[in-house]
Amino acid sequence: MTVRGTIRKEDLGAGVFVLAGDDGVTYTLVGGDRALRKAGQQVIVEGEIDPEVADTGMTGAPALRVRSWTHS
Amino acid sequence: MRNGLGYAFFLAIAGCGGPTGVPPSPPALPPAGIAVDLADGTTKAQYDAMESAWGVDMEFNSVAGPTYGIAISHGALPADVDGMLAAIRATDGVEAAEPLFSYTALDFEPNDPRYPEQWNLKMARLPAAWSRATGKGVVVAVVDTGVATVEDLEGASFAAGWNFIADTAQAIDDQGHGTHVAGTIAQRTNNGMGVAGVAFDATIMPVKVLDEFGSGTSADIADAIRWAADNGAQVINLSLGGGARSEVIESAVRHARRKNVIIVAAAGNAGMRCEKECRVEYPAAYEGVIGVSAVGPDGTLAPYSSWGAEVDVAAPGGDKRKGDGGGVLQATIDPESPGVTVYQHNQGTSMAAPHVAGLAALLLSAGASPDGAERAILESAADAGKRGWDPRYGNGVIDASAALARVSSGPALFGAAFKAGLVAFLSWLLLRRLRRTVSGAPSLGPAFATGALSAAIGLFFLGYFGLPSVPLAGGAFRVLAQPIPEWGRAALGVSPTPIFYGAAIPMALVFFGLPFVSLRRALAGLSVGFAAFLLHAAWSGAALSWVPGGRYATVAWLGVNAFLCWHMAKELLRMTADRESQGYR
Repeated sequence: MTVRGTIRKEDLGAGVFVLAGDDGVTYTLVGGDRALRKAGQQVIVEGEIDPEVADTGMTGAPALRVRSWTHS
Repeated sequence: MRNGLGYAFFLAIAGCGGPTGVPPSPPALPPAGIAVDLADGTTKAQYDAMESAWGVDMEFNSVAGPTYGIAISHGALPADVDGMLAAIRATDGVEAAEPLFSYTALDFEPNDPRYPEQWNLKMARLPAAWSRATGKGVVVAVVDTGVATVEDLEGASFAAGWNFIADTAQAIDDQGHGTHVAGTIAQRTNNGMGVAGVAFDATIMPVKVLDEFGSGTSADIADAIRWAADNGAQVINLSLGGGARSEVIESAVRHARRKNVIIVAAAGNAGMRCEKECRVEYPAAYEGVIGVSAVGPDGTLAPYSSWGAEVDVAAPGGDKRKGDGGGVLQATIDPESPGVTVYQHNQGTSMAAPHVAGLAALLLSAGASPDGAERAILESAADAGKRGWDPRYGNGVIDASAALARVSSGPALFGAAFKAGLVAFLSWLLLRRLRRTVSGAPSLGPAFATGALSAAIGLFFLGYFGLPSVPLAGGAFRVLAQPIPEWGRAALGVSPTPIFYGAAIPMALVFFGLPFVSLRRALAGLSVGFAAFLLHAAWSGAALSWVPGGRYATVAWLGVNAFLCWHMAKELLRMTADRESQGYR
């Protein structure tokens, strides 16, 4: 799936990065790289929802496993 | 609160005293702080204004602080304490202010320079626990992003761990989360550096299952739980979660439980998405896992904290809405520049869980069995939110001092068993006497025994098998495990009154139950049990509220009521014997 949206940093635990999708859904980011995780940047992420993920954020948001991404 | 001064004084002593009962001695040291009793209903804004006007950092003495208005200072005091106290007493809304002395050596005050910022440790009542246990020799697995040996973990005890991301033995943190969590559990304490930890002599087993961005897979987490249990972990901390139930993790949890490992997990941080309903994340939601919700410095549920049926207890997890100081402070790494120690205020149920894991380590090091430690954590928690268990705070906010008092005081345990035995013996003596008095000596059977047991000792077996931690019904099991005269205390937390410590309850039950022949044996048993309980209370000098005239009046009340109960039992048995002689059963 492809999600366009904005990277946001949630102040939980040591800080977790999520993708506030333009589709109105917030996604927990899984995988990808550090460059993706810059709060405020607009991105297009290509990936899949992975139900087998657990993380430190525990925000209840679906986990989006990143296959590739670009700036939007 | 009119009698605030006395109350503050009481709190100061109660807060420090343990079950060992060290008598308060006249203070010879300068005051450790000041205690201020504020008018009931003092608002947060007024409170903040007072703080800045006096130039003292104040903190509510306990979770009950906002209700009772007792606040204590923390941090350094000016040289002229008396002058400052006079100024404070002159402030509107202050009912009393006085120096706060530490009355015993039981409260341990670590010398770590930033310890005064660790409101969380005081909230969980650790200072009063550390003189009794430090977690020595207990292995706590931190299943997380790994652990980095930051400066304030140097010299801490480590067990060999494993890295399930890279499949190596090097479980080094590259994210910052696991090191912070490990710090809450076992930060080097009293080392003149940084901050303190909950069970600072415990052994940390770093197990890395989360990558540099803090996420991992069910398969790795399940493997890690099994690996930790098979390699000597006694406690496993899981400050991680996801929404999906996973068979493999669930079965790993069962495996660890069979090995008597205590498993603690964060309830989740989805609280902002919750309104009327909320869901605890997995693994906290699995059977056999202690699910931990998070409270902020004011003792109320943090807005991010998930809640639900699987929350067992609450612990400090921080709330930074009013600034960083509301977070939980530990040493960790900055993932941008690993190798450099940073002291970071974090918030999250991730921060709450390790307080409970650390407390479990303290209890195990004090000699508790794994089951005993879990029970102590749940049963000693300071009730918060709705009375009794509730989905936000579980059994309440953990209280390390009270939990340790339950397991580390051998004499208290012995005392409880001795008391139960004595009451049972008294019941037997009364029964023997009754059977001589009542002609025909009716058969008694299990109904009589159950009645007597409930009244005199309580259905104590209901306090085991983990029943008290059953959601919703757990509270009832806890109450039923106590003798009936103690139900007021067990259910409502009220001190003994003549209503519970008297013949009122058996009389009422006999009044309504008498027409039912089948109930009479149970009622007779209940009355005998009450008589024995009241006689024991009189003999042991129990104190009752509302009884004027002091000790002798109380003894007289208990004696007369015991006699009434005995008399009721006699009549009930006489009726039963009469029916038996007429050929009925």
